Amino acid sequence: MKKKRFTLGRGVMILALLVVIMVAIAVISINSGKMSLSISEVFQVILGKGTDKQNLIIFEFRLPRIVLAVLVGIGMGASGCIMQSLLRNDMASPGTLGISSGSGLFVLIFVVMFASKGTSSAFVLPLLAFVGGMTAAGLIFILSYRRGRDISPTGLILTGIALSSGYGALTTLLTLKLDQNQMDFMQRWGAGSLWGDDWRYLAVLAPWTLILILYVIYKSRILNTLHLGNETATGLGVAVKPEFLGLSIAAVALASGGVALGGNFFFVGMISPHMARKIVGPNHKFLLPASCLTGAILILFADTITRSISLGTDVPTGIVITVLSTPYFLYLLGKSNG
Amino acid sequence: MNSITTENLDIAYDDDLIVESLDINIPHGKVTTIIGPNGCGKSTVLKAVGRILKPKNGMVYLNGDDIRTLSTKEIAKKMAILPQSPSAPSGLTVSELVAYGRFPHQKGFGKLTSEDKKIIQWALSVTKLTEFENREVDTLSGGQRQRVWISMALAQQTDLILLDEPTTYLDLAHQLEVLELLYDLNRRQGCTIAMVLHDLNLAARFSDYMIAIRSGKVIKHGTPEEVMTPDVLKEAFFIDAQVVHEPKTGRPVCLTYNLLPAAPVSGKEV
Repeated sequence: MKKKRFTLGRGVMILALLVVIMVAIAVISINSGKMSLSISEVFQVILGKGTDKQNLIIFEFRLPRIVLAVLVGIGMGASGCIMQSLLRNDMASPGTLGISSGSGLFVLIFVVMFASKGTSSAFVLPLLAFVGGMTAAGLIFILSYRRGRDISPTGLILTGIALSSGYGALTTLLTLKLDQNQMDFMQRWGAGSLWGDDWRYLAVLAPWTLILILYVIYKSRILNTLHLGNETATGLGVAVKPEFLGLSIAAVALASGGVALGGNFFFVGMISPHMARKIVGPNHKFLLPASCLTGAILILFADTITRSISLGTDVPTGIVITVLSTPYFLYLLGKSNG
Repeated sequence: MNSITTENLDIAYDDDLIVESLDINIPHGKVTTIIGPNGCGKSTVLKAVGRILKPKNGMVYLNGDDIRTLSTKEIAKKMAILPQSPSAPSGLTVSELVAYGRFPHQKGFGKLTSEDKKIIQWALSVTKLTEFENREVDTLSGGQRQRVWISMALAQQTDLILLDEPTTYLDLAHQLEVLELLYDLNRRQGCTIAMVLHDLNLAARFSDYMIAIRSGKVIKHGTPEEVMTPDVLKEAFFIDAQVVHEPKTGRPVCLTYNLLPAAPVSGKEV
């Protein structure tokens, strides 16, 4: 017999602990890289007493990358969590539903037609990724829609996987037109490279993510009821259709911001909610923030490893995450079968 | 006085008319049971009454008000509905799930007030779940789990509770336990109960009012005495039933039955 005492205090404590872990990894991350700085040097820089070179390393290279990793992780973690709860399926995520590939295709089209860098792309890229993600979500919805019947989560996910490979084919087709530089960018983007670590991009991504997160956390009570199924939610007085739509759009928007500037972090969107559920349980008041923090910790951790262990060339962060997450994912699968 | 009245209700999936110009009443303060063969539309009717399904035509009145003029949240303060075999996310505790029943009464972030907590404790004690409040719902037995869902509906504090086959997948003793709980809620707390049941004898034993449906039409409604007759059962289920009276409660029971020779193959379950 399993007894669990879960109080408000314990939930808040776990969330605080996750924040501490995240900050700790961020501090380690700021110290690691090709040019090492001691902790005292980092403090000097933060206090405004660093040399020009130290300032450059911290404020222009490391800090933006850390902020980007955190924002992408928050977006992916929240997006995966919302999708899994809305569809009542643990396999749902921006990756499995083909949302990321949809965003990716639009990002690619932009890269093929214009240069990938420049101030205008700071606004255009997340927006395009969002349009791509919404297009993918709309397509999946239309293709799995059967008149007069409830949409089955499994149907949605299968359609998502099918569409995802379709997008993959289109993406490959387009990459044939790329020059070597663009090709490199695309490949690294696809593996999750956290390329948009520039304050110009972050100035757009940060408010984008923050506003959406506030909206979905405000809706956590609605998510709790929708997680019980649409019929039960209706019985409890939730206007299911508009809430479902609003939360889906928010989930797509949260994922596309990260996809545009970070790359394809397929596993983070799927695994963070799982880990968070293990730690705080299924109540979204805690689950949603925990899922965001877990996502941020995962990407930050992977990025720190990527930058501190020299593997010859620059290894995209996403690859490290995949290597780290695959065993956990297999463990989950094994457990659900047994 | 009626909690629910329907007028000329047409319910369709696509162009498939399941229920046609249905007029039923769910009397206030009573236990009402809808019976009928598989695919007759009894769950469909319950869903339309509970605004889960939108009827094609016709009206549903809740305490005399047109249900379309009420917001879904207002309705949830007057009517709770439990779908057939609902499932709780794993890891959710009993008291957390019951607390979700307070949803229609909450605002904003939905912090539980002391009154909410009092009502949750009351709902737990009425369903005899107080000692299980910190257990995870998915570790409980089927009968206990059904009691948790009923407890959630109670926390909604509605006059009317609709239940779609609340005894499905339960063994004999647990079926009885759930129905006795609902009967007690009706008699002691004054809840109006309306449900769909498959077991005719349990329906007759615990209901004040029964509605027999076949192919989306009412065959007979009234007291169990009036509905549990060989003629009605013949028309509803195509069975040749022998109905006697149970010595303990005096309620009618269907003792034995045979299929009638011309029984059609039953339709799809909806």
